[in-house]
Amino acid sequence: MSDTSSTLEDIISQEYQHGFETAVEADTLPRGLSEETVRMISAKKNEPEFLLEWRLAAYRRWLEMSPPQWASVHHPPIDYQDIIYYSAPKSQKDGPKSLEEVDPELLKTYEKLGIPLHERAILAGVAVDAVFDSVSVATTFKDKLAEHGIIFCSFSEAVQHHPELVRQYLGTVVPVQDNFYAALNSAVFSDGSFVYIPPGVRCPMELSTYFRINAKNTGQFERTLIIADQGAYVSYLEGCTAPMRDENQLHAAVVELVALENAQIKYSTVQNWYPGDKEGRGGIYNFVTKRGDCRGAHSKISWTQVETGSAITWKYPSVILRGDHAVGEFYSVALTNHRQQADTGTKMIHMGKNTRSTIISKGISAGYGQQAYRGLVRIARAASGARNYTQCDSLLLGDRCAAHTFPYIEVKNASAKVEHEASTSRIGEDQLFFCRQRGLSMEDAVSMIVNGFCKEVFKELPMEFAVEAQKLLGVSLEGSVG
Amino acid sequence: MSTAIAHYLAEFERLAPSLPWQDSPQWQAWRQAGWDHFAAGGFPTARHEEWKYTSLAALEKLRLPCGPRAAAPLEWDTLRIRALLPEARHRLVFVDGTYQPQLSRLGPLPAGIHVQALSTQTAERSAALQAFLGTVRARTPFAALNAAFMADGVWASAEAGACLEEPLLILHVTSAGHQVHHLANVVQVAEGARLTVVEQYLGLTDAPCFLNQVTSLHLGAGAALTHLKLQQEGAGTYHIGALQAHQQRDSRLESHAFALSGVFGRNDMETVLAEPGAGVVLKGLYRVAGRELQDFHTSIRHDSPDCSSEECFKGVLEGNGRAVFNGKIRVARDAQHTVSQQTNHNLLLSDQAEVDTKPQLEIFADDVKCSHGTTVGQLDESQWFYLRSRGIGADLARALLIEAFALDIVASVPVPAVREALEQLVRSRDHV
Repeated sequence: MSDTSSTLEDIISQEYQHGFETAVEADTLPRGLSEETVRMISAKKNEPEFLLEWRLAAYRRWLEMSPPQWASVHHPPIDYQDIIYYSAPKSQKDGPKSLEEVDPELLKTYEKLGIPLHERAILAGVAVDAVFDSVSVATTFKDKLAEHGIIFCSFSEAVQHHPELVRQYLGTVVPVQDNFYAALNSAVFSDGSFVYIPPGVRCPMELSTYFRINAKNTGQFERTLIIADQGAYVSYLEGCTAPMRDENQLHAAVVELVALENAQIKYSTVQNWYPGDKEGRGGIYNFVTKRGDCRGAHSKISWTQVETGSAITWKYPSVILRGDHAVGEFYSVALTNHRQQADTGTKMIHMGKNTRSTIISKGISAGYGQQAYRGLVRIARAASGARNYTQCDSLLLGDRCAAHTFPYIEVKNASAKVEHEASTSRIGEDQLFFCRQRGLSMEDAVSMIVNGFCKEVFKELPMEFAVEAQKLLGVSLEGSVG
Repeated sequence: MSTAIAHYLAEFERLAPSLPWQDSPQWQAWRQAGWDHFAAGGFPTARHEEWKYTSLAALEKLRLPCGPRAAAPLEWDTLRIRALLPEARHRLVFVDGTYQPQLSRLGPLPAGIHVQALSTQTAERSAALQAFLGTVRARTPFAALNAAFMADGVWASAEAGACLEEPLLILHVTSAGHQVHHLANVVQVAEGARLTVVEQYLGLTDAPCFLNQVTSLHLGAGAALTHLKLQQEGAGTYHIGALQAHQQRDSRLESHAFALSGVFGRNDMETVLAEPGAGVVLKGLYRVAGRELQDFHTSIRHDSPDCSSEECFKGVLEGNGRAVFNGKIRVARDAQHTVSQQTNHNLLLSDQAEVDTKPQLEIFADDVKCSHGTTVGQLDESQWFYLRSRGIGADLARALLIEAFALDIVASVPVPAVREALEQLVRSRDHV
């Protein structure tokens, strides 16, 4: 095994590939947060009065709150006055009408990231809303989507053109006082994506957002709101990267999903924020609140996430199963290597009758990685016939990593069926032996076993993402055995 | 200071002079430390993670006098029919917190086996006791309160290589109520020794009372201890227990917990697998009906490599009953080759009942095999149909299925006499 371990060592120590910074002139607010900052962000975005009021209310709530302490993650206290809350590429001000008008430097950045923003977008059939630092850069395929009555635009545009929809749904799934980071986001969010699928429409393509934190010292606070009206269907993809820096950067996003009667939303994330270097210097603090609300009967919300980046991940995509017969799903692969920490999981709140939920969580820890699955399954008294199945497995690679499981199960209805299983183990010697003995290299053997371990989740991802996710996992895993 | 704390403080000041060994400064300091620990935190609230689902509000309101009190004389014959092991050759009986020599009996004990009530220990011997009780004192706020008030209990020990074949029965009877009792049991099994200890808590009254007990188990290298705790408390009894076990190399602990009645039950059980090769089996059965609550918080600490643990708790919930289960398994760094399995199954038979369960794995080593499983469900429909289609009445069918669910915990009790008695107990409640 020793001959393979040197090459494996190279692989595990592979540098972060997306760690470039693009020199783009940016329009930036000074560091620090005050009521004035909130007003300035709102003014810069030319927002209506109701939104400013909403932001200010959130800001005041945030002042009274303190950061959550219960997660099993450790980091020095964050100085919220040392963050730049708004940074926009300058050319954005004039508002690009088409791709040709977008700053070519920006487009190069996205090319490096391999996003199908240009003609490749058509081939890939993906409509992308790319968020660069805090503002949305370009949204492709808008016209084609408009034919179906689908609104897919940046959050700022939605505020300008569809204020009634924003007003109706904003903050109804994640209220401003929900938690510390959600309140902060509500006060200072700068942009994000907005999707509205009208009744009965099946969105003809995958919608996608790509987030990138470029400027130094900026926090990214984006806000995504997706509404699937009665009988609508949408599949939404989200990807993230950031340049390499020694300092930690904060990313506190909020995602709200609303599914009305018979609607379906599938939300997939491949998160590859900069994880920090081997010694744990730098990296993104990814403190995200994601929640879906199955408001109507027979609605369905499905979360799929592949979390390989970030120094710290604090994220619990949840589903409130309010409508009868609603379905909630959560599929997750989380990888922590080097000094990464992840505290992630989901909440399934069953309120409607005959609601069903499935949770499949796969955690992989290597190096000094720390990982926790933290989940809640709650069956309310009125939720008769509810059903939940949870499986969370952890794979440990290396004797200095850790994996924890904290599943909370609360059942108040006698017709509920709730099952939870969890296991923790390392790659079996017998499995490795089986593969090696059949001529597979150590690298391939481990990769195969790990991919098999994650298969249940990967199969939920759209094609393009599944490939990317497998590649991402490949980066650091193999070196851990041998 | 809350009024509940003030009440216990007044009781502590009143009783302190009369508690055993109070002429020794070490014991005064020890009790004071226990009191200070409890008073500093007070009654935990729902904001406290370990008490998130279990409200102590009702217990806090219950201002009962503490300490032992002269018990009304009881005949063995009245207890005999309720005792788990009526024919036990070795039994120590306590009534309302006080040791009853006339109800107890100790047959001839093999060499190296010592069994005594705590209150009959001399001051010199009691010094050693502190060391054994020390591990449990800081475990929970109530274990600390117990340290302040503790007046009686059992100290059983087996010297190296000693073995007591028959089970030792510790029977605690609550006969009068309106009282708080604090008891402590210490079981110490030295290298290669074997012991079987059965703790039975029997309530003869439905009047409100509060029983706060601790059990401290110490297993030497290669020791084997079979331990069983049965709660058959009265309808007004609040029972809070803390169990702390410490296991050395290749020792084996089997502990069974049965919480069958009482308005409120809470057990904090922890075992530390301190040296390689130690193994533990924890089994439990809780049943709640009416407005009862049973709460088990277990913690298994794999501090050393090559240890194993197996845990299975089952619960049957009816009426407005509530059950809480929290099973923590912690595998320390370098505790390689750990094998750990945990399951918790709940049978939820009423819409007014509630179960809150949280199995929890914290793993810091990689070469481990750990798993847990939890289910919440109902009686199996096909089994129900099978019985009903064969002409078995609804009540009996239900009783049979509940029995089938619960009895495999009983079946794992290794002492035949205890197992049979428990089978009867579990059945009798079904057929009421």
